[in-house]
Amino acid sequence: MAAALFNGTSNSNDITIDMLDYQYIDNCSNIKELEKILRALRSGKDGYYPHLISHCEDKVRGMNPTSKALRKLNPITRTKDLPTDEAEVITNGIGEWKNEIHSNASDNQVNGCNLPPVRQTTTLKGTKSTVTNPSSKSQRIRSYDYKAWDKFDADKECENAEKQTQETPRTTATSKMSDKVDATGLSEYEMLVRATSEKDKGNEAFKSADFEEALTYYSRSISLSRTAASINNRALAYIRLQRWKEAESDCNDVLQLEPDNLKARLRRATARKELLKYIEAKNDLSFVLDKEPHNTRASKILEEVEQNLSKKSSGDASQSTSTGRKMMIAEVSSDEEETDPPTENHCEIKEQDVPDTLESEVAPISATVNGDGTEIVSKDDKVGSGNPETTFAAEEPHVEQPPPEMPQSVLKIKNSGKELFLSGQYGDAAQLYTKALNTLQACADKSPDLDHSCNIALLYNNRAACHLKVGDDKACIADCNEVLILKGMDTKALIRRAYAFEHMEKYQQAYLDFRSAQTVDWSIKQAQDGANRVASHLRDIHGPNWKSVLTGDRMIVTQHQKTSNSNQSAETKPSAQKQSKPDVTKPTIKPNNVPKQEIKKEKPNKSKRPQKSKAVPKQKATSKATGSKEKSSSPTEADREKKKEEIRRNLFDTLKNNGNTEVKKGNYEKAVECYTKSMDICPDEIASYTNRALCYLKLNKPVSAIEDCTEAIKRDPRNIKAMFRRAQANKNLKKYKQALDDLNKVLKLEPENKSAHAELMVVRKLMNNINNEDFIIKPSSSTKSPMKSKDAAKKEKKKRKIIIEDAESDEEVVNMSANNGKEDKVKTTSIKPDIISNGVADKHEVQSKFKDTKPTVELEEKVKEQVQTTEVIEKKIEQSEPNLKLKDPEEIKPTLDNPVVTSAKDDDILPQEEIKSPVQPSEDTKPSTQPQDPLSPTNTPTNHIFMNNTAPFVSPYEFGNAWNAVQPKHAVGTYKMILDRVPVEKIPELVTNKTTDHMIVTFAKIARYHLIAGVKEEIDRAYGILSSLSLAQRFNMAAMFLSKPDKKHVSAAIDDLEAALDTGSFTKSDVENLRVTYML
Amino acid sequence: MDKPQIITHLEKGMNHTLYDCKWIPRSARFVTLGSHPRGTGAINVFEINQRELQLVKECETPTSFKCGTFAASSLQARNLATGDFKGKLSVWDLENMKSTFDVDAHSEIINAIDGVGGLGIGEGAPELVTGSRDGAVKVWDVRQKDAPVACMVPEEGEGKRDCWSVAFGDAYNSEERCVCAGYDNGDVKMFDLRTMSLKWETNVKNGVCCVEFDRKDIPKNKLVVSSLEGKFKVFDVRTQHPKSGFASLSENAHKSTVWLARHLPQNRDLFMTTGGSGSLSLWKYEYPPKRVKEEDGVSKGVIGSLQYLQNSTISTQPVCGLDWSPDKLGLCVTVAFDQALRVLIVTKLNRV
Repeated sequence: MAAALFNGTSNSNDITIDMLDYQYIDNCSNIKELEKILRALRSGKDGYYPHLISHCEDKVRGMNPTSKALRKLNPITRTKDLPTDEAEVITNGIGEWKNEIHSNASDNQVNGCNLPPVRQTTTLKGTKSTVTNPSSKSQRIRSYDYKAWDKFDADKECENAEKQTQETPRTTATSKMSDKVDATGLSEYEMLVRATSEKDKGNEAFKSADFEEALTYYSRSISLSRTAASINNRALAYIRLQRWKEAESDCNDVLQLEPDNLKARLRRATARKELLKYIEAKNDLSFVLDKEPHNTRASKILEEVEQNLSKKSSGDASQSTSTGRKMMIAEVSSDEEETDPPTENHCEIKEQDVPDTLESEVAPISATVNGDGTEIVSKDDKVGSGNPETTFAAEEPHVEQPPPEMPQSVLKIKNSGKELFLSGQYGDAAQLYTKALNTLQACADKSPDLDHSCNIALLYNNRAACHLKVGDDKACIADCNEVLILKGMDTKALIRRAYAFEHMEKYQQAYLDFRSAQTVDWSIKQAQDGANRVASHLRDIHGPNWKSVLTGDRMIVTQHQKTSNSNQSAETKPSAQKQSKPDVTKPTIKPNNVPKQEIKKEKPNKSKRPQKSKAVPKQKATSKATGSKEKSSSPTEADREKKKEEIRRNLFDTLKNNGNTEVKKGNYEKAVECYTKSMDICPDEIASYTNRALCYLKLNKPVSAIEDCTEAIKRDPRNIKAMFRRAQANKNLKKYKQALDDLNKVLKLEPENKSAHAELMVVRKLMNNINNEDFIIKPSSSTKSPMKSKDAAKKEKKKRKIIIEDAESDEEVVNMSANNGKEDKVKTTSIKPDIISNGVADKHEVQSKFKDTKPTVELEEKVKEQVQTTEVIEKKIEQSEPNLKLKDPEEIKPTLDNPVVTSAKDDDILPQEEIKSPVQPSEDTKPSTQPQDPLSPTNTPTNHIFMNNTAPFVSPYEFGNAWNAVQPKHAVGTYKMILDRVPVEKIPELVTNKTTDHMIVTFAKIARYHLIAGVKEEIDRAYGILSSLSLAQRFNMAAMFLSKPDKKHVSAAIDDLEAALDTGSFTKSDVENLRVTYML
Repeated sequence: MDKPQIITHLEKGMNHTLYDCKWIPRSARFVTLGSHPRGTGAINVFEINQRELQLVKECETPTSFKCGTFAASSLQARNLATGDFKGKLSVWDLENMKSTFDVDAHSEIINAIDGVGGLGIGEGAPELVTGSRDGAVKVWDVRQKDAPVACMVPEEGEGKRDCWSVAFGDAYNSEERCVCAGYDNGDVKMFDLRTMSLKWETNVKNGVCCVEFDRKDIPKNKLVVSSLEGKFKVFDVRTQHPKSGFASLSENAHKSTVWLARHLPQNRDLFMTTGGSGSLSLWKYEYPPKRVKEEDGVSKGVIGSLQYLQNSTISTQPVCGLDWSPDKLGLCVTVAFDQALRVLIVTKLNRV
């Protein structure tokens, strides 16, 4: 026993002589032990074995290249020991430097004069200058020292401890550093040296990701010497900080200094893209691509820019701005490309990611659609930064050594491809690999007896790596699929495909691939990390039960070899499938054209997952769909009960997704079919009911919708969506009371729900109106009026975004329609009604129709109607010629002493309103008769509801809703009407913290309207409006962001106030104060 | 082979002990400080010629020198501040080898000296800091002759510790400035000169041979503390946690006292340590993906890692002085107790 004990200790601690053996070292996997062996070998105690030592070193190096045991002390190296050429370089280098520094040494005889004063602490000397030197550590009382413990006062110690924690150390504030360096007394050479050192500091800070700090240093450097490099670097720092304007102007400066600076061009293009200056960005990019045709980053941005450009040119202003928003977020990670190419891909994902589209339809209740969108994006961001170099860098060395039988010619191409890859030219490398593949294929054809499949797989694998780097996820997946066909389970290919899927946000597939890679080789860390990462995404998306979404697929992992015939079954299935959870619909899912896809797929694909995606333009979405379908089909073979359940779920999901897609496309009838089937499969899934209810709503079948909602509420009494939809349906049926009940319930469950609030207002309004109006007006917008046709529904989504945007996008639409003249009438009108009818809740009321007429017909009717009215208006507009030019409200500034201009300005608001008015089916509005008085309620039919209601706003909600509902954003008249309902002193309360720059400007404009009247009360109110707005929360913040034209408006208003001093009951100093608070 | 190489370019043996060496800014000259066998001080100025070192000036003074710096001098004047064995702080005009400023700063030997505000490095007034065996750390302004502008001494009655090293840092604007001091018992203290308070302290167990900030003229970023017993620590001094202070890492090197740690003026993340066995090690600090993490609402620093780039054993005796050239990347001068000075070139530093 003693011996055993001894043995045990000797095993762990000592190195015995039999360990000093090649075989033992080869088999040893304990790095600590190996290091010990190495030490023992080096000590020479048991003899000197140089070859064994180097063998052991190699082994240690293989396991841990940074092992401390490998550190060897190098002897002194002298210049004369070096090869002559190196020695020459060094000696000459020093000689040159010496001469250079000598020539510069003479010119520094200037005296630095303005030194800061001597530190004032002299007076403290002797008394306070002693900083106490407390003993470094408070003595710990030993457990046996009872006397000391007797003296120990626990309370006091606690107090002390608290005091200490309160003295939280100040973290360094870089903001205190000035942006400029005092250069007085510096010679030119000195300035240059200082500038370089500041730039170095900037680079260092940049490297450690302190972009703000880097910015400061670059600015300091530039203040000393305007070199292109510093400005260029600063531009990059600005880009990282997303300060696009500054970035652009910096790039401009660089290009002035160095017109051929490609980096600056590229950076400017990036900034311009963000600034939505697509055309300029495109010019820059084509310049870059001219010089460097293989610049992948440039071509990537170009692609994006072109996409945006085409979107924009399609007249879809709101859409383009909305993408702009998203790209802002995306750009955070895409910037990293320059230093960290792999993350490139994340940017692409985010661009495709249009997360709110379906969500907004399926879940109208969540008014936070855009919030959701950004949330998803930000998650991606996390991935972007979360798996930085480490994972990808680790992947790089995966380029494999060629197997011996590869033909020489191919080998050559392959090696040069590898070199390119290693040097980062992934695009070129991919091309070379393609070439190699072709050559090899030719060889294989010539001599069929040689099995080149292994080599081909290798090449595909390498090309996949290139594609992955470049961000061409589809190509990467296709290549990986080839590899998997040829080689079966190849971990590298699996992991690469997983990355590609991950980039495409197909987390399920990515997860499965990571897992399969893991099953092949557990030790692959990338796979583990990846699986974890993706799993967390899935959890975010699908909630805690995310695994159930996968389970079906997982079987594929194990069975994937046999699935060749499962495609068939998949095809027969789709209609019988069922799904769950409509809310989790992934943004990119578009399974509608699935069947086609699958037929194509049949031909060559033996591997488990979709690869034919290239074939169809909508590859990503479809491949996803096919993927999921295939997956869901294969497990049908399984007979176990549990698996069946999983399959059911899978089918259900697919069906539900199909339904969602149909909804998206506007085929509500088809969607209803899908949902009905899904209900058959999983009768307990609430989602099918709520979703079908939505379809019914859209199809104007409120009774069925109510049935579905009731069904859903039966299963989940707290289902907000169901309640909300039932409320809508009830409203359409004029059962306002029930609708109100439901809405109140919703608000009880979710007091913040904006759409519910809006809806509530509408319903209340309707209840009031019902008595005194002949035809019933049906609210639209977020209420999803059933008569909305599919494109109306689409527009609605965009509409929502417009609300978020400021005036610009609306203006664009409006102006466009105004300018289009008669030729485009139809177009104009077709845009108009959508915008208006879908506009924010309560704003417009469009005829409600309960007849089961087809929505399209209705729309047509409406359009016709509008065409007529627009024609009238069009003429009207043409008469009042100048109006069309007055797109920009800033161009005209009303002044009290210039009534002509004032009236012109009034007109300025009119065109839009006139164009709007036709939508109003109304007797009570006379769109074109009173152009001179935009402020009269009758003339601004757009905001019907607010007009009728003159009661003061009670809650900030009401006010906020009304305010946000106003379209277009510069219809000051409408805004004024809203504001008229607010007592001056209540403004800050009602505005709450929603103050925006736009609001400030609008308030200023309204104040000027008041001033025009010239009456004392009006003038006082004008002053009141402006002064009380300045008391609102966040006012200072908003005021800070006023643009120049905005400021002009505000200052004009204050100027007017000043001019009206004698009539008003305020003093000149009041006005001056106002000027100060508005930061003018 | 992108690894930097440490190449001994020029070597020269002297007939006296050398303690410190400094490049004269904007020149190909450097100055060595030392002690003649008979206890007198030595200032020598050398210039590099193509393949040899040329002694340009030489001066013998009454007391041996321990340390010196140019860092508080203007680029035009380039006056050398020295600390000697008797506690005297002097500033020398090297043109005519006359002292322009003399003060009996300490009662015992000045072990370490550092400066800031000169040479365009660091905002604010040019100041010197001295650390001495008498336990005091004093800050000086050469415009005020008789008294230090700040003085950090141990409390009466408390045993005084030998201060072995001092360093300036955090001088990124004209108000902020801090001094870090290391003592023979392993204490490291950081004093904030703006608030005149002790900002942070720690104990590294072994006597602190050298403290140095990676840069003096930026918000304090990293601090290297080298100590006896072959250890040095790197602190990330950006983020101070109220309880656990600064994040740090510890590294073994040289298997003997780590005499010095000197950051490359052109790249703050590279530094050289010198050992008691005559070896030099070149290190690179690598930042973690995120330098700050939130812990219970308080931010806490995250330390990165060190990469061991290169080493070279240039002597059999401790290397007690090393200075990187501020003007030429990779050029440095060292002195060792074998009475030799060496000019080294470290290649490929820009590629690290």
